[in-house]
This record gives sequence, structure tokens and C-alpha cells, in this order.
Amino acid sequence: MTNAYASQGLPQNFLDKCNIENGEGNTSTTFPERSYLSYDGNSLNADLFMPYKEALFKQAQHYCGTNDLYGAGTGPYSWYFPEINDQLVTGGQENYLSGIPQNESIDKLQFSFVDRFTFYPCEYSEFLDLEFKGQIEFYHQNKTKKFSEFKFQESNKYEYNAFDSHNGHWSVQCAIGFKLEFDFTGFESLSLSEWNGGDWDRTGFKLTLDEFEREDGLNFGNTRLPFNGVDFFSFGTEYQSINSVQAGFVIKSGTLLLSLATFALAIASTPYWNPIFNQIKGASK
Amino acid sequence: MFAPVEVIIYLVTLLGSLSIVSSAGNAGYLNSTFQRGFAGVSTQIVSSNFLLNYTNAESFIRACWGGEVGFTGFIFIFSMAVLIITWVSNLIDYNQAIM
Repeated sequence: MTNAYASQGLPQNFLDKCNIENGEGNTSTTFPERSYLSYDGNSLNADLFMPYKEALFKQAQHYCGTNDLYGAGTGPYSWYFPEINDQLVTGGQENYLSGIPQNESIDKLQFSFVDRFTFYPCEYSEFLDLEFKGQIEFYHQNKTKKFSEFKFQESNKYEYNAFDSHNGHWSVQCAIGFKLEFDFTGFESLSLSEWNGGDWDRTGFKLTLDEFEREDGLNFGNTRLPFNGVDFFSFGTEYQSINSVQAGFVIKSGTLLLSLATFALAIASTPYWNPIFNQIKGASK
Repeated sequence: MFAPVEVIIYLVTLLGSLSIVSSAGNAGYLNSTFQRGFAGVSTQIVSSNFLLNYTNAESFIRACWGGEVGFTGFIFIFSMAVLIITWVSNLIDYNQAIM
């Protein structure tokens, strides 16, 4: 399977785990464990095919099984990064968060899901507006930290400038896909870096998308999603980081000021101290 | 899910609305019961929806409560508790939240 895609320019370090069953349903062959592409920075790593550094993931109905993706229809769909059994990340290039320095934390995570092996006319009727929810659960050592209730309104049309290897030029193409941004608040970023101590090499996460609905209110049915199919889809992740020391100072200072203002408002709400009234009274004398 | 943090936000906006309506009444506005009721309910709905949907108030209070903002977060929770107790006490004693 890997060799078949290599002719299409699949990144060389792409491998995919795939259990092949014989006629009696017994697993007979196991290919090497998939190796994720290293994600080495917060800039867009445009390669030949996508405007981000991609890895190829198996789609839900991939004929080799569904061991990467659990879900169908309206969801939930979940992926582990990296895919591990005991949720103990040991570090290494397969970890998507390894590029984040220890004194920084995640401000935003952006994920791209594109079924880039089939293009459609950009006016294709199956391009629809969707609503769904997202959740990220980080894991570090034996601890987990969950951020849920991310809400998305996205079209399943992914339009981008693609390289046509047959004609040798770039052209605008439309495929089934979307780009999602998980934007963390300042104190969420801060809590994240305090939670894992900045040890991003050993921090993994589980991404879940769920409760898919069509914005037109019709039955979701066989609405096209990039990760539904029998082949592969292109996946990319990018992040934006913030300096957790600076952010922590600003947030904690701001919280202290807000606390003092709230306390002052409480005292000013009593008959014993009314600064506004006293000021007016003083001015009128 | 109806979380305790949401209850705090609804409570604060309710007390704030009562205070605004009461102040307006003292200033000679909103003379009828309908006007006061309409203004109070509208103010509460708008302010609570604004805080819950368009600001980070909910996740901020949750972070303070969970210790994610450190000791200053607990100071903020304490200040907010003092504010709520003061407003409720004023409401019971003087029929208005802010004196």
C-alpha cells in the first residue's frame, strides 16, 4: 500500500500499519508501525501537495481495518497523537508537539483534514456547510487534561492551490475537507504548561470530532467527510505558541487587579463607603 | 450542562439587573411594574448571554475555581463571593443591591 502511494509523491518517511487477513479471517501480515511526519515548527511547511506538512491517515472504512479511527456518520471520530496503547508518550519525531519550547505553551492548534486524492468541481453540490463539536484531551505521563465544547461551523469544501503532476503546473482545486482551529484562552494555555511542566516531548493528545449536523437541517446521511472512505486522507497540524512566563504574569496581574476592583465594588455597595456619591457631594460643597 | 459557574454568572447578572432597575426607579424612571419587569428581565438575559457566549467569563471563573490561575484566582473567587453576599444582604435589608 505504501509503495502504491509513493508514486504519487508520498513523503518518504510515511509508513502505515496494516493487518492483512487471510481467507479464514486470520491476521497474516503486519506492516511496520506508522511513522508520523515530524512537525518542526509553527510556520506553514508547504510541501509539494498541501499547504501544510502532511501525514496520511486511514479513512474510516479503510479495507485494512479501522484501528486508527473509531466512528461513523455523525461521530464521534477520534484520533490519538501519537497513537499509543498505554498513553505514555516517550518522545521522538512521531510526537506532534515536540517542536514547542519548554517555556512556551499552546495558544492555538490548527488541524487540516483533506481527502486530496479526489478533486471535484468547486461548485459540486455535495459541498455543504456543517456544524459539529470538537474536544482535545492532552495526556502526559498518567495524567489527562480535557478541553471540550469547541464548536465549529465549517464547509466541507477545501479549496487550495494544488500541483498537477501530469501537467506540471499549479491550479486551484477543490476537495472534501476542512481546516479547524482550536483557540485556547490565555489561562487555558497557562494551565496547560503548568500541568505538563513544559514537557511537550512527552505530551500527546486525543482529538475528537462529534455531533456532525448539516446547516441546512437535512438528515446527515452520507454527507461527505474527508475521513470517511476506503483509502487515506491528508492530515496536517500547525500550532501557535505563547510565552507562558509572560502570559502568566499578565494573567495573574490582571486577575489580581480584577479581584481588587471586585472587592472595592463590594465595599462600595454598602452604606459605609460610596466613593461616587461622596465625590459628587464633595464637588457640590 | 448547568455548571455552578453558570449559576454564579446568572446570580451576578440578576443582582446587577435588580440594582439597575431599582436605581432607575429611584431616579423616577420605569414607574410601572411592567416596565420594571421588562427592563429587569431584558437586562439579565442580555448581560448573562453576553458574559457566557461572547466573553471568557465562564472559563475564567472556572480556571480561578480550579486553581489554574494560582493563588490570585482564589482571591478573585473570594472577592466575588464578598460581592454576591453584599448584594444579597443589601437586597434583603434595603430592597436594592447597591446602596
